Amino acid sequence: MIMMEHVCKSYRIAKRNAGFREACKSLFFREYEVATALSDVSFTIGDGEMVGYIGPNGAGKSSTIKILSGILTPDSGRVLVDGRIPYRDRIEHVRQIGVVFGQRSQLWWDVPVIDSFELLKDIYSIPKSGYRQNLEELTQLLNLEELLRTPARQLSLGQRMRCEIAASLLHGPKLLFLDEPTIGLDAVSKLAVRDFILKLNKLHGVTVILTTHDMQDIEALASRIILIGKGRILMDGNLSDIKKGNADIDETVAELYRSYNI
Amino acid sequence: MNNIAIIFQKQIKDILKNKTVLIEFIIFPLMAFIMTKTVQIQDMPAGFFVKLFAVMYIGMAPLTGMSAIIAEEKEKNTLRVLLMADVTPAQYLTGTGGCVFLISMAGAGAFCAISGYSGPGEKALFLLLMAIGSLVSMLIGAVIGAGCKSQMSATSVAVPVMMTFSFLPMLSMFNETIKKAAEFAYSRQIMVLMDGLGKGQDNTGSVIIIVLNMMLFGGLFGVLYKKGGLGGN
Repeated sequence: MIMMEHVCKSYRIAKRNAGFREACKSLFFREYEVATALSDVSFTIGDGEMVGYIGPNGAGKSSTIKILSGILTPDSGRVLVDGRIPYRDRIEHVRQIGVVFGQRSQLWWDVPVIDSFELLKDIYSIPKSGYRQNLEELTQLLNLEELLRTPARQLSLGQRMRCEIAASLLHGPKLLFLDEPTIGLDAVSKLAVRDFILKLNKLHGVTVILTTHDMQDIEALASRIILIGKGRILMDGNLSDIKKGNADIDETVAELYRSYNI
Repeated sequence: MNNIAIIFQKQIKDILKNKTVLIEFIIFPLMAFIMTKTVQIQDMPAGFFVKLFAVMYIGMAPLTGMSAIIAEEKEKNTLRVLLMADVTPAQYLTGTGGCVFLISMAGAGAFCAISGYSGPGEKALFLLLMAIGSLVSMLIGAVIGAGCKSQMSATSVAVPVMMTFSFLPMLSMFNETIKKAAEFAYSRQIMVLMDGLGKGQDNTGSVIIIVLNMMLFGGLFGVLYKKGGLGGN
């Protein structure tokens, strides 16, 4: 379903030294540095898989997600998602994917959640019956009944995240990208989100790519782990490949990062 | 329903909830109404306060409306959501611009009602001038919205720009030097055209300056857009 082959991506980043003089100078003469985000990244992911895409901050996780969701274009390499090139066949592609960025809301802040859902229904051209069915199912599974008429700004983080996940699934995507979906959530909300993702995968066979620093998420959800560091794929396996005996999962992953010097 | 209509409807809902933007569309016609009804000065030209506040209105309300909406959607990530869901930047700008323009013209209608212009011809020309002024202001607002990353930075750029275009026509009444500089601003030329309504004067110079303003800000938007899109990505 997903194939990345020798994908590279770099960014031009503006740099300057400290001080007022340098700040004024940078208004007219900017110096840039090229930062490599992805270097020869290749992997394939099959239908219905739940993959944990892990790595330290700045490793290239979000760049990969952005390329796979069609937001970014790679400098080189080949990307196919369900036979489509995401950044070229964007319109077809976005109808098949759902994206949740844990640190950024995709709900309109001042209007009730249901208004955001209705807007997404119109934009994705979801047929009325399909929308009603999806909304009912998501409302039930995520326990949203009480939240739909509340403006997003008045929801707690856990409530908002449940609504964010529902918003990303209203159009029934086959592929779901979750970028730190449990960040900042309390234990009860975390468990609810994890439980829902498991059910979603089991009931509808949705492929899930999960990036997170919470290793309990990985332990609970991911059957496969891809480790990325400094823009390169360092490991592709499962939890048992990295876990030694009864060692704590956080300690195990920290040890793994150290062993790769990332 | 097509995407432009969807965005248009959404922005109407949003703008009705956004009091800081909405108030600018109400305050100027209201001020013009109060001043016209309460202040009577000998030899004051007809419709003096209406023209004064109308020019301030078109220099301020559509400009801040457009820049605030785009910057807010960028900051809160909802612009990315729309652009990822197959809404094109052109559809987004048309839907948003259509909403700001409609509300702006509702205010223009209020000005027209209290203007004292006689006959449908003068009223239609007044509304046309308001529409052209609003369009140039919206272009400037789009430039600011596309160029700034957050609402805070958009406001800090929009305030001096809108103050310049709003107050230049008024200040040029009192100072010849400012008047010379103001001649290059579309808002000053809109006021000149409003003053000349029904007098049959030659307006070629004013029209050329307004068109040049439109081309300048349209070009600037094009350059910014080519460089970084709407910034929602």
